[in-house]
Amino acid sequence: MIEIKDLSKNYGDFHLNISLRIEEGRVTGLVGRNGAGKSTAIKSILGLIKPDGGSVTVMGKDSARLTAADKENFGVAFSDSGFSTYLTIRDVVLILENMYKDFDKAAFLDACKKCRLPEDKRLKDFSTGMKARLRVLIACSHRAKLLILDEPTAGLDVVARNEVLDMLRNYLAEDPGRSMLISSHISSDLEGLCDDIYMIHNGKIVLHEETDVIVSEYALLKLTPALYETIDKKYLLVTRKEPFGYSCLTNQRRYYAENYPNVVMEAGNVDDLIIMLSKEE
Amino acid sequence: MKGLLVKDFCLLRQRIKFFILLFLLTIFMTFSMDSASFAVGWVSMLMAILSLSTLSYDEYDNCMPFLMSLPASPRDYALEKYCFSFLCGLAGWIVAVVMMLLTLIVQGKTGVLVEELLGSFMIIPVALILPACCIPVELKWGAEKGRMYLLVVYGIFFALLGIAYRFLPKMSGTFFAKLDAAVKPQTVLILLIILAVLITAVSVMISFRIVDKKEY
Repeated sequence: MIEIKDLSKNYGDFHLNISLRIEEGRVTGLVGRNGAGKSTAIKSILGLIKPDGGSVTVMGKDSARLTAADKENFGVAFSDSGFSTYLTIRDVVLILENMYKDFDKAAFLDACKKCRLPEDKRLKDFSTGMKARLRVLIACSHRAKLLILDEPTAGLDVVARNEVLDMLRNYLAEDPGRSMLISSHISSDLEGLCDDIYMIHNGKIVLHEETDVIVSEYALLKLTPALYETIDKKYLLVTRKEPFGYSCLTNQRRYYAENYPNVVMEAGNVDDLIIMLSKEE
Repeated sequence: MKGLLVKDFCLLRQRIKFFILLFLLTIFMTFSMDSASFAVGWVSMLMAILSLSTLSYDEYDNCMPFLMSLPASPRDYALEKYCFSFLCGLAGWIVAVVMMLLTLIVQGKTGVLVEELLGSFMIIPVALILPACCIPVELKWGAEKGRMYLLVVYGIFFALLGIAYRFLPKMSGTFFAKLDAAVKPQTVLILLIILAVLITAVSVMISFRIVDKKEY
């Protein structure tokens, strides 16, 4: 569905250099801290920025050559960009009707009603959560085969975040052929949604793993200095010095659980990966 | 592009109170001025320029990345701005011409109807030229900054015009008097249309180059 090969983009001191692949029917997460390069990667997929090198192919086509017809297959949502907030949902319906051949007006209005989004109120009077829900509803309004969502849950409380994620789950469940690339710095959002996760840090992909593997095989070991000296370090991916001793990230949880039963171990989660892999030291 | 046009019409609807004021002002102008077609020119050009305020709306909420991810290319976006300003100018022109004709009939000035109507037709190409000069500038530097640059350019243009008027009064007077006598209004209209089409074509090409290079 999407293939990025050695994409490079430079903004002053920031250098993006990544490769990634999103398969059809898969949900891929792109996690990383603010400013890691997630939005730049997403904008390059949509052809909104011009790469300095490498290639970006979307549905078999160079992203710089995407036509209006190609873009009908995408559903896009940004956290900081959307329709003018001087418009109302009624206006948005009119625009989408004239923009997408497959726009499902009845379903869209029904979804807006369920989300308690008023039709005749200007978007600038919507709360952050309402705006976020609307952006996702717009992305899902025209049977897009590929959803590309840049931080759709940014700035939302936990309830609003779950509502947005549920909307996305429902959309994906309707057709197994649908794919999605979603970026977030709130990694717990992605654990229950994504098939695989790319982690980006300082413009580089530092990890690509299946979500199931992260949850079942990765772990964070909390070691005292004495234990750290004796432990087998073969499967320790990252080690950080802590006040109590050492925090170590491993992708062989069972090995340490079986051989070092006294080790304090936290089950793997994406937040730990971000903390361990992106801490500046 | 149709979707973008609908978007801009929805945005322009925000200024409905201003349009009502404009409508009332046009009635006043057509009644009070000697040249009724002046009001037609004023309204048409104001409408064409006003349509460009949608560029500010698009910029204000950082809409551009999202708009460019919709099924429309950057070139569609640029072209739509030309179509939209032309449609707005034309809509303003039609309303103003109808009001002008009605006013002249009410005032019993039916003798000047054809002359005023012909004068009004000359406004259409001018209303096309004005946004054609503004759109590339606003696409390049943004709506607010672009408008500032345009003000400076217009300032220089009118200053030069003033200097020319001051130093060449006799020469220009004779020249325009001769020109007026020699050229028929129909010829001026055709020349204006050709000029408007040429300027718009060049302007569209410049705008395409600007949006092709732009990142969102």
